[in-house]
Amino acid sequence: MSNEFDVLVIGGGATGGGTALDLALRGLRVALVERHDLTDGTSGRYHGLLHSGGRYAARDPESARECIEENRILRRIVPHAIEDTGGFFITTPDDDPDFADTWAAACRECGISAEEISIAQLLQEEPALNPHTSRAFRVPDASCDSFDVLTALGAAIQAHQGSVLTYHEVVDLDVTDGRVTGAMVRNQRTGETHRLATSMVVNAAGAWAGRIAGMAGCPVTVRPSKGTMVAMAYRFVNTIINRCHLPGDGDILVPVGTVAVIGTTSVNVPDPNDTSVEDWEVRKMLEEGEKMVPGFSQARALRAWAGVRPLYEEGGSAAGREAKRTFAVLDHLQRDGVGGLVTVVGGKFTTYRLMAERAADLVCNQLDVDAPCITKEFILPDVRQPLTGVKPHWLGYRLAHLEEERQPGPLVCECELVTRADIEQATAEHPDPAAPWVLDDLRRDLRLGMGPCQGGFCGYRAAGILHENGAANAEQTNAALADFAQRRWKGQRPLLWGQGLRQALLDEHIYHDILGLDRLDNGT
Amino acid sequence: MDDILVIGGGPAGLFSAWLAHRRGARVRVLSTGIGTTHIMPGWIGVLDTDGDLESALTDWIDLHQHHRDSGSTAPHPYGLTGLDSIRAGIAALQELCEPAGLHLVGGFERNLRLPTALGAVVPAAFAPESFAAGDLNRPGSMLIAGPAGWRDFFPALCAANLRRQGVQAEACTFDLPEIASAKFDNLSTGLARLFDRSSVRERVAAQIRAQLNGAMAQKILRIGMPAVLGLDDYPGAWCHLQDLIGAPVFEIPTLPPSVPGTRLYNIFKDALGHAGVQFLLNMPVGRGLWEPGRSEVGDAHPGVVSGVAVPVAGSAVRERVYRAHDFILATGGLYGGGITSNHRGELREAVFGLPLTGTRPMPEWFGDRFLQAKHAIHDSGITANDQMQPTRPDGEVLYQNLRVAGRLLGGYNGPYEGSTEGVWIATAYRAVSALLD
Repeated sequence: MSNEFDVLVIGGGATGGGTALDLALRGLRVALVERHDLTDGTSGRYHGLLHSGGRYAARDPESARECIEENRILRRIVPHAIEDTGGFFITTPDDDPDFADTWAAACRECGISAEEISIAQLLQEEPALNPHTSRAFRVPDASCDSFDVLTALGAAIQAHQGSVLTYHEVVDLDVTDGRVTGAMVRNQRTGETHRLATSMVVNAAGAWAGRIAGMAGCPVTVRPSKGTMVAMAYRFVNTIINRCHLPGDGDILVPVGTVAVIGTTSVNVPDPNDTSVEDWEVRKMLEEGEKMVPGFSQARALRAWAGVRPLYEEGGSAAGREAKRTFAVLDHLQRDGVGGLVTVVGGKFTTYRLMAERAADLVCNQLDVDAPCITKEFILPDVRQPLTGVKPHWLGYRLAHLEEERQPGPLVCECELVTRADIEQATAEHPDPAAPWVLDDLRRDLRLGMGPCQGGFCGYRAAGILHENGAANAEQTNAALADFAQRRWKGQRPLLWGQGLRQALLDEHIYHDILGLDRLDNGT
Repeated sequence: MDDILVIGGGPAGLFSAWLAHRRGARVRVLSTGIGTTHIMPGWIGVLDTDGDLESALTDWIDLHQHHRDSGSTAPHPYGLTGLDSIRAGIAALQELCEPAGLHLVGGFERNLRLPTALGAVVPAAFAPESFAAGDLNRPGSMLIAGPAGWRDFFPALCAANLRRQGVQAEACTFDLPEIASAKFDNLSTGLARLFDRSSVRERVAAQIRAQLNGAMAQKILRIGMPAVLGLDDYPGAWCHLQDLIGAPVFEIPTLPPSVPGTRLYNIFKDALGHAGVQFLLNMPVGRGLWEPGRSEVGDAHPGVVSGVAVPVAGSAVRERVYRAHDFILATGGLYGGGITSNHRGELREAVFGLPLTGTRPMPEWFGDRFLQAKHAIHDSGITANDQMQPTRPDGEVLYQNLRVAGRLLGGYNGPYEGSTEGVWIATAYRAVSALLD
């Protein structure tokens, strides 16, 4: 592998992935450097809502306009990751009835289609919704799988001679004569550090961007804002539901695959690594869910997790819900007198492509590269073999796939229909299958362990396959299984009551009583 | 009217019913569904100890009988039953299983050390005879064998982990083309039904014999296989396979459904059926009916349970009432459904609303580490006296004709004490003895 690049992009989320691809498509030699797996940060911890912009129309019209424009583009360039659910904004008895007209006018201003429909029509389409809803509007929201988007970005970067270095953490930037010329990166697995030389660095580290910029002596103050989400074991709705009020806690319900995700909270946190889920956040999600879907809090909750938004306003001090969702591209040469470094921060998953375009424009400008951005038209590859006539995000996709193959081979994960062949292929493609985090990476690739049993059955099966294929020795396999079980536990831990609690006791029984994983020396 | 109505069809309920029948009582069992027999590993764990089991148990019981007076948590079930009920309970279970060919071997001197599917080692006082050759207290290298491509058992991983602990273990797979068929039931029970067929056993034995005659050759003294060696034809299938291979064969439990547990369930079910004891499944008891007790100064009169009501399927209001002289509540704990929980952190005993002890605020139910935490939720449950009657925390008996057995009891942490099976056996035995002695 070469250690010299035109541009190093730091951060394997949507923004970094998008920027690296944009630059690769303009003919530059790029490397995308990510300290964990792609989407391990905020991109993989979001609710899955491809915004129409309706959420921001009233308070933050600039973000709203960006959202609707990018929404249209993403539907075109990454169709396999988007389920066109559409969305509703609804006025429940808990919302100010006068807000709807103000909001609808704001949507018109921003060019977001918001057609009012009758409550009878609403309830016919979504019978689980609160029957006391007074107003309802249809908007072009959609459900988007960020894992699929990043998988596609990663594949496209590599197809255009770019490098994707996951599990490589940037520990320092080289600054020579007022210019960033390289980065010291540590391979997380081996612990070895080596230097990557580069003409430019793009800091797309999201909530961690302040730390990266600080390595070059540039002060960037990101205001990390933690949002907690809960995945419920039922889909409830086939359309994205937004409460028609100013954005608040727990007012978005997103159908994703077999589950529905409710989000979010907004808590300013000093440490961007703080993804802890607090009890009040879970209670709040269930209470708010009840207002949209009566009976919500009685249903089984599967997992809770938190992501940290990288809120940023140049010169501003607003945080949390008050802060704008727009983004900034910082030219550190102009701003701080440090050349070779560009920071792109803020924004939304929905606007990642636009952020990438602006950052790449600035990089090309500084490198005197005269190549236009083509990402608006570049269709991202679907790395799976698509089935003809079936949309990848149709719920029955995996089942149809299994049935078409006739010889499906044994299912490893029955909840998410993952086969042995899927595991073997993903393991073969994994850069480091002996790493302790490998099963969690397979989860992001395949949805392994993301269904109701939360890894109780499929964890052992996937670990056994890894070992059988020689990808990991017994010690490494045990560590990977323990890591996987613990990560699955982290998301269940705040939700253990009722049926979910019974499931967790079954999982404990399997791992502890039947398999005795914790009796092995590195099994906890 | 029945003499004894048992509520719960898990191991504690079914064992209680059989014990009570054996003592001449008229018994009936009501159960929501199949219980934890179908997830149990198959061995009988009494207490996790490396040393002499009987003296460890004696110390444990002494400690917990003294601890009983201290109040806030429920007394340990072994403190209530004593060593005698543990011993007599296991002897009775052996007696029940013997005619069906399930020989439970072991003793109170020293725990067997049995390999798991992952190659860890678990202590257990007793185990089916078909597990016994795997006991790692005995020397002798082993060959771990399983069907190639089966998702629920990985011989190489099992053997590698055993080797890392100093056990001489090799691994091999054998072909079983049936499991590749799309129609095949890929669970343990599906495989066990294959092993019920002698032609399958012959094919498998031939392949394993070929391995033994090959390079790894003579040094292998025993063969470990997933616990699927026969269901209806057990122990015949296991014995036959062992004869065909010409070396001791032992079973290793793997992911549920549990074949060894299903065998035990079938033994219970058949024994009750032959005895004319009604075992009614799909009978979720909705509530208990009782005459309340009275409490006067210095003189408590416990209540009396008069019956239990089962909702009639399809009706919101109708229920059927079952009455008996005495009742044994063996509905299980939080897993089994005897205790329910909700998102407000409330725990409730499902039938009578009996008081629970050892409960804590919801955030303390589970620890942050999945597998090291000895989660506190396991300690919660019903408090009982040594007659297995549920009591208030102060010891006052609630209902004179109600007994409790199994996981519904508080005061113990089965998974981390290694006492899961010992507790259901001893408490069922004690509950029935207290009623019928």
